[in-house]
Amino acid sequence: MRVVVKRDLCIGAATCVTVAPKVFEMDDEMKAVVKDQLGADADTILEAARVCPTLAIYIYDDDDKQIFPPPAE
Amino acid sequence: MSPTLPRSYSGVVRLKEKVSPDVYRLLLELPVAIEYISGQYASFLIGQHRRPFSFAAPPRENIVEFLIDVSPNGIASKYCCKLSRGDVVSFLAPYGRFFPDGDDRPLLLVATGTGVAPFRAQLYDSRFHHRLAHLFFGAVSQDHLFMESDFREYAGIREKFLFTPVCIEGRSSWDGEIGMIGQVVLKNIRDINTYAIYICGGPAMIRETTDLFMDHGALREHIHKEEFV
Repeated sequence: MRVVVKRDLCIGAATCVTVAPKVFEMDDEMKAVVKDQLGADADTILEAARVCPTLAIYIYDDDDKQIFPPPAE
Repeated sequence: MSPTLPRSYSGVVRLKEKVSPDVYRLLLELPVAIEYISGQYASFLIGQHRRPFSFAAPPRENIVEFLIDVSPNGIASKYCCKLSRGDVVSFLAPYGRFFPDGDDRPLLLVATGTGVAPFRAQLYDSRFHHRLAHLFFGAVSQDHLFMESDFREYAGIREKFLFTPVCIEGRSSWDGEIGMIGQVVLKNIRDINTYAIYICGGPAMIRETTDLFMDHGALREHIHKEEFV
């Protein structure tokens, strides 16, 4: 699984850090960055992505297929 | 004051009223009470998209209020324009840390347009009434200074609240301050560095105002910003 924070969407809510502090941290510009892709289990990382107010966290599976946000049908 | 983790809510539109040419006031009634800190915001669920909006009033059991600028004409604007009384709006909340905490300096609140929403919530919230607050509220013209009379009236009632409306473009009927909001603040505030400064609005206004204040002695750690994009 691969986790990416879309910097242009991030507004610095830091909720991801609250949910998964071993995966995400805030940088000097108050944008979230991934510090450890393996810092939490998949469910916790998915929850962090789900509660992001601007859906700035994208999750891809091992085949690099986007699983969150759910791709448009 | 410790923020709580966001959760899902769905509320029914009870009021949607136009308060200026581009801004709607939206009241939602929720099936349950909601807790948040004035200054925080909600993330509206609009199809596959999410858009953040600040709570525009302090917590009141199960009623929440927002101020929505529809001038961008994007996804959220179109969504809001289509909303009617009785429609259901879903959102996640609460988010953010844009509220005074751990500092007893007087508050300098600088906002343009719907950037005033978090400050409105705080000004009407008794948890913040012990601090002196001076709100500078700017808009392109008097027509866009929504709720101006409400703020003026409130300043007449509440001892520790000062209100200065600012128009970028003045007309003959406007006898208030005219100009860029940062400049007007500096004209009216003697020592900006004695304040805890909160700025909310578009990115350009925030950037220009922050630079201006720092050029005039404000310290970066005393300036707090919330950008509306």
